[in-house]
Amino acid sequence: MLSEAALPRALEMFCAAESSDDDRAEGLNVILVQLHRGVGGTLNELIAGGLRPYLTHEDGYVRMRGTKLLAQVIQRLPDLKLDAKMVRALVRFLVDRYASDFDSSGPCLSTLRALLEMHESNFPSDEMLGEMVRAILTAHHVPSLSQSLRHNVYQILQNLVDKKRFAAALRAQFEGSRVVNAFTEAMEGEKDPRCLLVSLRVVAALLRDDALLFASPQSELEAVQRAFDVTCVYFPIVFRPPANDPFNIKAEDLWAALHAVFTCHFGMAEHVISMLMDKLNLTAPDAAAAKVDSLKTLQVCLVAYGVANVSEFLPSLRRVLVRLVVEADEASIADEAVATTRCITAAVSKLEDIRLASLPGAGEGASAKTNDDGPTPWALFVVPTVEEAVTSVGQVVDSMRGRASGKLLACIAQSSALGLRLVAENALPVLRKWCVRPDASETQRAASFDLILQIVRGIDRDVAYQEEHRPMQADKIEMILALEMDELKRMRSVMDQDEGTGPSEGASAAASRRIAVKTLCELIMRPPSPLLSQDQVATVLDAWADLIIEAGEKDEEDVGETCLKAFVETGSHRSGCAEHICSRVLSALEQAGRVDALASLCAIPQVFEAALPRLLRSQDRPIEETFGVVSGIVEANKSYKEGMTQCCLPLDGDALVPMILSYLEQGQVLVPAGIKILGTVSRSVDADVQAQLASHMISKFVLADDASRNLESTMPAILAVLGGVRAEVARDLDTAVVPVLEAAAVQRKDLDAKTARAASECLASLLNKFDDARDGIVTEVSQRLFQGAQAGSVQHLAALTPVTKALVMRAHPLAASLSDGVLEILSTVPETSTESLTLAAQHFGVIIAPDAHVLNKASFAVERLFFQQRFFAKYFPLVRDRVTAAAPDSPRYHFYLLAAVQLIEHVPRAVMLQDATLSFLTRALQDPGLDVKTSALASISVLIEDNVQTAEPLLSTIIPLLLDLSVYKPGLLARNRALAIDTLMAFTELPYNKIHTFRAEVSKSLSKALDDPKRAVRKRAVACRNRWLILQNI
Amino acid sequence: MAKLNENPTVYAVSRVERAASVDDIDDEDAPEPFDATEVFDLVRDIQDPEHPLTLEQLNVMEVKNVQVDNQKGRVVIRFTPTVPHCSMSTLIGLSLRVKLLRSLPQRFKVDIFVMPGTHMQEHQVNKQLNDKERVAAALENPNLLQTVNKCIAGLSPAA
Repeated sequence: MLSEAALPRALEMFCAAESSDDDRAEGLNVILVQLHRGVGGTLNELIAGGLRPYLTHEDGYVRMRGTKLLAQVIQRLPDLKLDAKMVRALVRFLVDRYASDFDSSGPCLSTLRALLEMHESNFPSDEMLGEMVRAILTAHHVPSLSQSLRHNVYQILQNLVDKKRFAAALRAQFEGSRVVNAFTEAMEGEKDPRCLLVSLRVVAALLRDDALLFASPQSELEAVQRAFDVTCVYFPIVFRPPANDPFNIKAEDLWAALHAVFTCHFGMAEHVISMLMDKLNLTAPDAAAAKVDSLKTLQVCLVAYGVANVSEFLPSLRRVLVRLVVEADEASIADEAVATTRCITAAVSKLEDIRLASLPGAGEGASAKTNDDGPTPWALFVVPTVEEAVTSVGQVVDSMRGRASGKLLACIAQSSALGLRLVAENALPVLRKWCVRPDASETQRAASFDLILQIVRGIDRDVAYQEEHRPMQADKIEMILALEMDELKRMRSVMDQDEGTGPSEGASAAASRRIAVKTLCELIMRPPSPLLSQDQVATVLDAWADLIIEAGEKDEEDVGETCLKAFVETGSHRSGCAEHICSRVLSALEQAGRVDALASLCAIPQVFEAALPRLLRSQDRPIEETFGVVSGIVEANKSYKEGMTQCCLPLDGDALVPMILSYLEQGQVLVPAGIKILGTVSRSVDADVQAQLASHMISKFVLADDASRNLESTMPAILAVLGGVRAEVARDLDTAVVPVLEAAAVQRKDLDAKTARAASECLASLLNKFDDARDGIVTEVSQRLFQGAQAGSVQHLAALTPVTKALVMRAHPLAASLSDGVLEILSTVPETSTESLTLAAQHFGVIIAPDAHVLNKASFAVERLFFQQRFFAKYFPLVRDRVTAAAPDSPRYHFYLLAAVQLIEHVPRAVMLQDATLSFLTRALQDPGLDVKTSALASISVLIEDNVQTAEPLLSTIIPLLLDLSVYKPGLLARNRALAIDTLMAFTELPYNKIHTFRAEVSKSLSKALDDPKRAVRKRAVACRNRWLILQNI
Repeated sequence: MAKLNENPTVYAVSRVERAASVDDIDDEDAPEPFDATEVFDLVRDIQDPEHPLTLEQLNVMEVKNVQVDNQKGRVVIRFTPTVPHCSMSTLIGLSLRVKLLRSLPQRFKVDIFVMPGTHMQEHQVNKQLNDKERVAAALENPNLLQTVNKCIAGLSPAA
């Protein structure tokens, strides 16, 4: 309980010059509590009573402390009741104090800001507000104030311009140019990004939407120019905040604020555009970034001003943009210039669209290039750009300028329907000349066809061709179709000539053919209303089929592959194409023996139905090869349920699955592709079909009299079907299958390890899906397996792991005791039993690792949410404790470490980032065992990818270990070597001073990886080494 | 400054480079020797010093002009300047050499030549590019090294 006597003491503690920081904090707390509870009276009483001596003290520092207390009280007690009279008195006091007492200026500004933000409704009259603004901006030279004071000045102004009432008062009290001039003087030369962000926002708000009243239009324009002069110096903004910047100011925020200033008033246009043009005309070699920024700003500004309002700048702007595209030194500048051209063309097209619609006889014939006020923006910008680009293309289409001009044409064609029409009219005749010129090189032909493709891509896929100003006339479509078809027909003769031409010419010839195919595909696909008649489409499809056949299976130039993609796209989306493919193309491909092409076309559902029986009936190739082709087709169509069912039923028919099963019944060993087909089909059909198939498998291959003799050949198929059944199917299956599978997994010595593993996986899958009615079976089987494992049987331990995983996934009560038991086995098995120890250690990783075979969602496994997290949370601490307790030189230490790192490796990423420590994993990386090293490496790469800074303290340990893993040695997979190199490359993101000491070591050691036997590893080593070598140049 | 070849011909790039994914490896023990395509992949994206184009786009480098003998550890590269008086040839050759120096194992001896008959000072350029002392001296120049690094940083073929 606080007494009233405590208040004077607390005031003294807070305001006295000799008080410590702790005393001040304590004093402030007492005062705040007293005021909050109403014990020490009201704020008014406090100011008039106890605080008064401090506010009027002769020592400036004590006066400042008194004012600061006032600021703290108002800031920290937003619910404090302050009436209008009190607020007025406070504002008057603070304004006077701010002007007369520099020491107290900081607290004065803070208090005024708090009053504006928290007591807006009681804020005094407009006149007093005017006095406040005047005092704030003129009493002190704002640029000389400290950062926090300046920030408060700008924040107060921002509060005023953001709130309607204050903004109206500002407008009523001041002539606009006075405010703008005063504020721009205050912010001139501002360098702090926090202050700059606020001040730029204030400038934009002051000039936007008649926020202020100006004496005359002239004074308004002068104010705008003044604002531009002060803010343009910040262009372009180069701001790189430090990592974990506490103020969270981003370069994008500053850009947005500066763009807001540039676009806040139309009067800015002439200044901004002139400045940007100057920047774009810079010739300094390091001006690339400024040019890109200028182009981006131009896009923003032109949209805001409206292109019609800045048409006087369009001719010079056009010349600059064309030059930047055509004579670019940097690709980034050219790309941005093209984007700007696109932006302007789109805006100009809208204006032209409206203008044409308003002309008498609007539509086809309307094309006047001028209006009453002179040339239109369209005539000033788009028309000459197209004319100039077409001239360049006409001179040399495959030169750097020709190709850059082509980019401009493509961008205009893709910007609007009008742009497309203009480009089509002007460019297509020129391109046609290039295509038919007998002396044109293959490179020139390829460049011409590429530009035609880009123009065709300008046709909007979503807008009906006939409804949108007919952007491309029918004669142009005919012209393109004829050119492209001629190019396809030319194939054979060009292929003959290829022998005489160089590779580049050959490559260009193939490129033009590929482009021709793509262009035809685009013509078929665009737009919703067809551009080509059905007969024309049929001709194109037949030509593609011919190309596929002629390209042959080698198809080194990818022409056939491009045709197949075009077939799939058109067949899947354009009506009539699939039918034509089924009726004509399939037979042609089959006759030519192009089974691979046939398989690719099966991605179209209709073709899948038609092609599959043909493939199965075909006697031309061995059945293994057929299965290989069909496997890909089935995989591509697995979501097509009807088709999958047709592959299964009737089970005694001649469909795909019965055919495979009869093959199996004859005692043949099924190739992996056949197994894959069975698995894919059985997982893709409905439950009733699945049940029929599963029952058929059990009766024929598990419970039949002679079934046990053939288990080695049939077990993969049994696993493929029974492992993928739904839970409702599994619970109705014959339980007699369980003992057969259990015996195959652990008892039968005549079966190989692969069959035993498949049997245990199949058993685990069923136990995962059995319901409570069959819980007895689950308990019995798992206990038998556990007892066997405890007794030292390696087979039982191997079978126990998938079974335990199945139970952990469904949160079965028995699961915990099984894993506890395996942990016990890991601790008690003799150290000489390395096989058992390895299996027991791997047990923990296997439980939470994603399973590729049957214990996964695709195989309908029962899975409780967060089972991996729960398992990890329980067992990782236990295993880690054992690692810590074991002697590092004991053999068991290695297996504990293996269990721990495998748990970390497979746990979901979020948990790993939270619980795994890099120091623990680095310790694992030092283990001599490759299995532990590679598992730790996988986790380390994830941690470093997430936050490379965490590795900083461990660099001297971890870099040599990673370098060791980057070098080829037997048993170390290429994947792991590549991962080690990738992790080393991630370290280059660290500050140079942290890593430069390792540069020579990394460079030297990685030179060994440059000679790795695998190309993929070498490629990574090159990239990584190069990154480390140029560190000093970044 | 005026460029030596202001408007060069831009060629279509022949194919996307050979996929090299560690996930596609079937046989861990089968070695994949260095070949011309691999060495070409290393240099195809080097940027031309004058234009924002790759050496492949300008036809300065072609796969047929790369010879690799993995057994003997020998690489021979011939490049074609876009114009016979191209003064950038030495810089291009230097970029090729530095890139291969950083990317190939030390067992390889690399020879870089201008394609015969494509440059007026063919002999001098070849001599300069294959003289260890001269190459080392050139790379001592920080400005030159920076330019070479910029070229090596490369462009994507689409740029």
